[in-house]
Amino acid sequence: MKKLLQSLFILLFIATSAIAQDRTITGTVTGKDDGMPLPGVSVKIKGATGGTTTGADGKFTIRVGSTASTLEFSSIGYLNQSITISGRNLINVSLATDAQSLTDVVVVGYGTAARKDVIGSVAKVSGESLQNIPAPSFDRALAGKATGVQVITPSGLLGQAPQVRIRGINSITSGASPLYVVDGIPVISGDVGGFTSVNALADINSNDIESIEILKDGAATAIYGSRAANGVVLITTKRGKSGTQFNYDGWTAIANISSRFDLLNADEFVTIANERFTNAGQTPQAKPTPDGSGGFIDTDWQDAVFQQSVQQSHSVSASGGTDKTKYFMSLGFTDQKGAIVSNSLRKYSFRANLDQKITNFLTFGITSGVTYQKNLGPLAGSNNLSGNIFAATRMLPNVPIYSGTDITGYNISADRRSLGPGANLSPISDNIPNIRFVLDNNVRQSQTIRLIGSTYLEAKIFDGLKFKTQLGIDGSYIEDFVYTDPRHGDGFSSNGSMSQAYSPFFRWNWQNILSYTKSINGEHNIDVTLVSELQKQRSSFFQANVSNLLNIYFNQNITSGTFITPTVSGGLTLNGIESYLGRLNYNYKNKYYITGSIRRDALSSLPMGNRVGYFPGVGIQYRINQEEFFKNAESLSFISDLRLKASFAEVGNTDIGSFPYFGTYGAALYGNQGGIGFNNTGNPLLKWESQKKYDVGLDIGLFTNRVNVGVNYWKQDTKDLILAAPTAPVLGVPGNSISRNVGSMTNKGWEFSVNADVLPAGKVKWNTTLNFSIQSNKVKGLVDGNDIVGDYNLTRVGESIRTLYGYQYAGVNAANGNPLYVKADGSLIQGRISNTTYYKYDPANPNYFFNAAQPVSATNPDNRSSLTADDKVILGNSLPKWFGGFNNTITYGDFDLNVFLRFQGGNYIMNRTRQDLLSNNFVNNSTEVLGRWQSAENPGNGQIPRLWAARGAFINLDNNAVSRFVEKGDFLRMDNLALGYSLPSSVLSKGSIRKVRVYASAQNLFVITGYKGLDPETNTSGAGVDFNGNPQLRTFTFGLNLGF
Amino acid sequence: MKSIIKKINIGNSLAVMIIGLTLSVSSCKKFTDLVPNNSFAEAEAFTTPDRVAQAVTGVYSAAQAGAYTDGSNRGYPFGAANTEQQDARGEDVIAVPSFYLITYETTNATNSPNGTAMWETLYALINRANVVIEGVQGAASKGVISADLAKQYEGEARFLRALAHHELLIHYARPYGHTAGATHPGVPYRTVPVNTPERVAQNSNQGRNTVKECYDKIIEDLTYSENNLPPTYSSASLKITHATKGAAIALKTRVYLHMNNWPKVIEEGNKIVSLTAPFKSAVGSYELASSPDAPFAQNYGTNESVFSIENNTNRNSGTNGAISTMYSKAPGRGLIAISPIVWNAAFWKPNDLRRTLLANSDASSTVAARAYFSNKYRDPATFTDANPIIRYSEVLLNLAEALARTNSLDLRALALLNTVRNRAVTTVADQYTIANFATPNSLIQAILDERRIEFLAEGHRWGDIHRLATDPVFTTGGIPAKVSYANTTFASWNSSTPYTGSRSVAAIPYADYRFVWPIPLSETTNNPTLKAQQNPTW
Repeated sequence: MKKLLQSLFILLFIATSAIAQDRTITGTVTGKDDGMPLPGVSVKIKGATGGTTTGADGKFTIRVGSTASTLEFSSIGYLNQSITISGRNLINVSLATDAQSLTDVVVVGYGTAARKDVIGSVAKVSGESLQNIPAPSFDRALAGKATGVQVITPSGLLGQAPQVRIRGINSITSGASPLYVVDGIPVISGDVGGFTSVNALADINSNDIESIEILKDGAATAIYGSRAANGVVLITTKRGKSGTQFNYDGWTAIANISSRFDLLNADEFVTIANERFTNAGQTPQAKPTPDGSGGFIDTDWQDAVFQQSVQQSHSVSASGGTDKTKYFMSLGFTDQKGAIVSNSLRKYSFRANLDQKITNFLTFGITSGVTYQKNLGPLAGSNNLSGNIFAATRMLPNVPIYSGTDITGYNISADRRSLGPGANLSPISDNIPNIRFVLDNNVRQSQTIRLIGSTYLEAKIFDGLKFKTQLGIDGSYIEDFVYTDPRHGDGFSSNGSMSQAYSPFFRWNWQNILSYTKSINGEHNIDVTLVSELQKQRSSFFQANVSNLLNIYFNQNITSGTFITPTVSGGLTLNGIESYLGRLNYNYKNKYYITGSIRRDALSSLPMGNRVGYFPGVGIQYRINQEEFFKNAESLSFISDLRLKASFAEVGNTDIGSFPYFGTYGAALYGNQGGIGFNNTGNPLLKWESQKKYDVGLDIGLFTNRVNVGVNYWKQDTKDLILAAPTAPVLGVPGNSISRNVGSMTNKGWEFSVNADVLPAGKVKWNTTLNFSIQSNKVKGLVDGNDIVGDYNLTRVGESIRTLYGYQYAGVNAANGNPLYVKADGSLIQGRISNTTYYKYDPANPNYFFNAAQPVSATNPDNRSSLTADDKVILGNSLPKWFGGFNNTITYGDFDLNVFLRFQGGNYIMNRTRQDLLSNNFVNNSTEVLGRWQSAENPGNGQIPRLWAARGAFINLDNNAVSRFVEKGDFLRMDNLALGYSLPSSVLSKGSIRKVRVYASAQNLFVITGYKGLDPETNTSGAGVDFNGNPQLRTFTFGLNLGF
Repeated sequence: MKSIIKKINIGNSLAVMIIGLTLSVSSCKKFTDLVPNNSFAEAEAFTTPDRVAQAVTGVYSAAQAGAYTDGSNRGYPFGAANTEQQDARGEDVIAVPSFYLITYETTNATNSPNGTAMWETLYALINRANVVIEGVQGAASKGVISADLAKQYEGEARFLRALAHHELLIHYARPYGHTAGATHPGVPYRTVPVNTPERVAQNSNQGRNTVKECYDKIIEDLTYSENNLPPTYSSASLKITHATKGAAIALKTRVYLHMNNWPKVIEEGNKIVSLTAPFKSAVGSYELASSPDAPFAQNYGTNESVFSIENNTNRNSGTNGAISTMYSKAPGRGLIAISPIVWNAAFWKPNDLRRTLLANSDASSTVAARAYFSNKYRDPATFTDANPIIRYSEVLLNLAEALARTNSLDLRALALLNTVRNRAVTTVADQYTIANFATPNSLIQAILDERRIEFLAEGHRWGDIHRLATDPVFTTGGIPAKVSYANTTFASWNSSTPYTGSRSVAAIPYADYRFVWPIPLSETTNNPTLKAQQNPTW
């Protein structure tokens, strides 16, 4: 039946166009870049209707009439070409690719659209630009690739998920991460590891990615309604194309950390440590430890936690297809060892995507990806005694890492609680363990199986009307494991412990999409989409903890009978969302565009009465260059595209936690007695967060789109923010907060992008892309206008969210080494270290302190003062105000060079690590401490107060932001530098090999910054605080791309 | 022909569509009507007798642990932290750097986690008690439980509410004797449950009650508890881990002592202390164990423990808070050592059994001794030690002090003192007779000294420093000077020679603002009423 219908079609077609034919032209269409045949290219006779397309081998046959003079060749992604026939019967054509083609297809929500017809602000990142980079996950490689999209990788830990923020931070308590949609299925993202970080998005093999579209403004995101507040990232995986292809992509990389701490050596440490004791009136405790061969131990503990490592990745894929069946299959393997000791990531990923035409109106398809990830990571907590950076920076440099006298071979104190003290009289403060023992013996790992897939059935009901039903799943099965060794470190007190957790997560998503496309006389173009979408997810975990281990041999899995004390925990959370949406796109002559959409969402996390939300969006576009006057104006011909657009939408945020409105009682154990306790205050009035998105933009294409310039201004007003609204702790409300719709906030910004083929053709080609974003954030409303105060940050009406907030430092009192601060009234005070009391500071009499033992009198005036919360001021915004990327691709013959720079700034960082490295405990310090005040004659650099054993918290105001440690975060990073060489096609065409490219590249080659910490992107709290974060990596990569 | 094709398409496609839409419509009915699985609606909390009982246990749960500032369980308020913080505020232990140093050296600030967590978890406990009191009253009026049982439950909740407010008073307010009539600011005494946004709005502006008002309410709560609580429960351990009639009376003796109300201490003490030795209680059968370490060796099963907070492997204060890890030598973390100030004190006899039964040095076969640690808590591996809140020995010494302060050289006071002391001081020559006391005050001093030994590592030292600060005779003057760990060697601990070494942590006079903790920043930020009532200078 199908064959018959097809032939009937062809017959009809031939019949209508057979009138004036007199000869046949044949030929082959190839791609200019690789010389490979191009299937599916449309071949038309200029001025006539009808035409043909090329077959899988790129060949075409067309009959032309005697009047025909020109053939037109067009294909999506290639520049159109017209060829004069001039009597020939054989015409071979090679088409050049068109990177910025306006006919480019862009994936939008629940469908695709031609680039020229897209009204919304959509940034497209090609899959290609994310490949060949040894990033542990594709999302890290998005950094700097698009305007308005900020990606911060907080450290070089492989499993760590970067923070992705699209157009600012749009919520205070609720989620601020975008919605990720893989092939139409919303998927989970973020850090899903229990004991070590695991990036859920690392489950997607970057070699499988065809393209990533980032939806930013209202017109683009409104279709995602309640889930659109933080933008949407659409990931499209590769699908089969006509013609068989086989690719191998592999690389090996050498990774090192990109910067180190400047710590004291053994001699300096002994001096500094003893000065701390002496100043405090205590006996010096530090002594050089003989190394047994006449010298003294001097250990650089960073060698114990950082290393050079080798990483590799191999990916093979095969794709192909006929006009009925298309497939893409791949296997990826990545093995990355960290430059941070005991950090590694191993990954296997499989993908099989299939599209099958069943009949000419029914298509069936499957998208399936399976990934296994194994992450190992050190304990990296900012304040954990065995956190790798916390401990490594504190380890005493005058003692060795290893010791033959200990049964374990490591240098451990005789009571096993802490690092061995060597010749020192005191052990290290706080019983910090030998970090190398911890890294070598404790295990923190996570294994994940992830299934993301969908099937669809699409029916073409009649021309223009299509119905598609798609069922997708996202299943994530995570097994976390931690083992602490009983011999030393965290496991010592409990005689060893293990925890093993299993966390299955399953989501199904079912979409029914009805779409209708109609063009009336080529003038009125209509596109309607109606969707119903149901999604439900189940997230649970159970965890077994055992301690008092009987034998350290059993340390890979909980083993029956090898422990004494077991405990178990677990939990279950369900979530459902039910949505209906409609979208109408209309344009008149590709000139005037309007789009409107509305989505209705019902979310299980909200109370019955407010569960349903309606989220409308509207956008308009005016393509001025399509106007006749414009087309006719010769002087404007250099402008190939010019459009103005504007949009507005109201969206929501579903990332609000589970059932924040529900007043509940939860388990409340008392020892071993079962109890229940009030654990959440209900709020039946809770409703959707709502955000109004405004966007206006101007896109200009010049010189037949050789140069494209985009400018956007946007503004997002979020109100009814669901805040964990702080309640006065004295009320004793669970969590000292109630979820309420009280906050409001505005984000706004400018986005600029330039993409230019500076040298479009010839032996040397140069493409350059610059994107630049400016953003600002302002909090408009909070609970009763009250600040939300953290240790280092403050969220205050009128200020940028989580701005840095703390004390103003005024240097050191040169007379006595006490720190000076500025009080709220502007007066100076000194913190007297010897009695930890504040006094007014009189420069004329810097050593005067009130004598508490004597009555207040003229000769003993009371000049006591204090440093209180009221003296804290705003020290700088924690959010970058500007950022961007500058990408250059230069090809010279068979060589290609990529230079990618990334920059960011306008923000401040509280360098808590630096504060920590000046600790006055019996631990090591940074070399910064060498500039300390020692005496009135030797006052140091005027910034570091006098030392005093164990008074670091008072001297440096630990756990507070202090202007002394607040630094600018501006930087310029050489993100990627890559040089590649491809074997010329003349060499390859003889064999069956299509492509051979070898390349060498370097990532994070250098950073230009004034920041004194390891890296200005180090971020441990998400709010501009660098607190014992791990360093970033610098990698050198060698790779091979092979194509058959 | 084209129209045929169209029809076929439509037929098939419609079938697909209809199936699809039918399924989606039928399944979406109540699709989003989900409820939490890990907790249930508050309306259902007091609907069955079991749940009411569990909700009452939930109040103890809040006493055992609330959320530390990072959300973890560090035993705030009564799981262990009350003991550790009170000891670290005193001079009889040493904070081994640097875990408790902020408390030990009084370098705390308004946002210090210790003061913040203590305040927040105590008020969380108080509110949970208030919510449960309302809940059990409601359950009784609906006939879910009997009126008598409701009163018993309310008695338990009010006992914990009183205990919590008293803990607040000794950290955040000046002692009772600070002003005549105790009219100076105490803390807000909260009795109204807050469990809805409306109640938050209605109750946000309650200011600090005066110290007198607070103490009066504590007594009112404890008297209700005394009148409605049973003397014991179904098991020996429940009798210790839940509030009883005896516990309410015992706590009253402590509270009246803080009020310097000696007659009332005596009146309450006499309810649970017999007139003559061997001192026993008719209520709850309390008596001293024969050995001083018995209440610690078996801390859920002696008649000496009046009220203790249970810790168990399922719920405890963890490695960062458990009483056993903090006080015990290896494999405990040994973060709180005994100070030579008390260890070497002349009033602590060298042969006192508590030196050997309840303390030990950290010496082992591989380690040279460095300091002495408490041995009262013995399970640093799984953190199951109970945190003793009141022991019978405290009741005896409370009563002894009140008697000694009331009657010159009271013989019953001496007998009570000796009952506690002589089970440890077994050398007859070291035991007291009335001849040892030249003045009435010397007997009181002996009782006060005895408390420092008997309750060492039980978190009572700060309470005594606090209440005695305003005592005309026995004043502590403020926070005493303390010893720095680095200034000690093992030789510093010497039971036969009083400690004369350096006390490099300077004393803080009573008048100094740091004598009381500040109302934490998290409170003043969200509560303008209390921000205006912050302790001076903080």
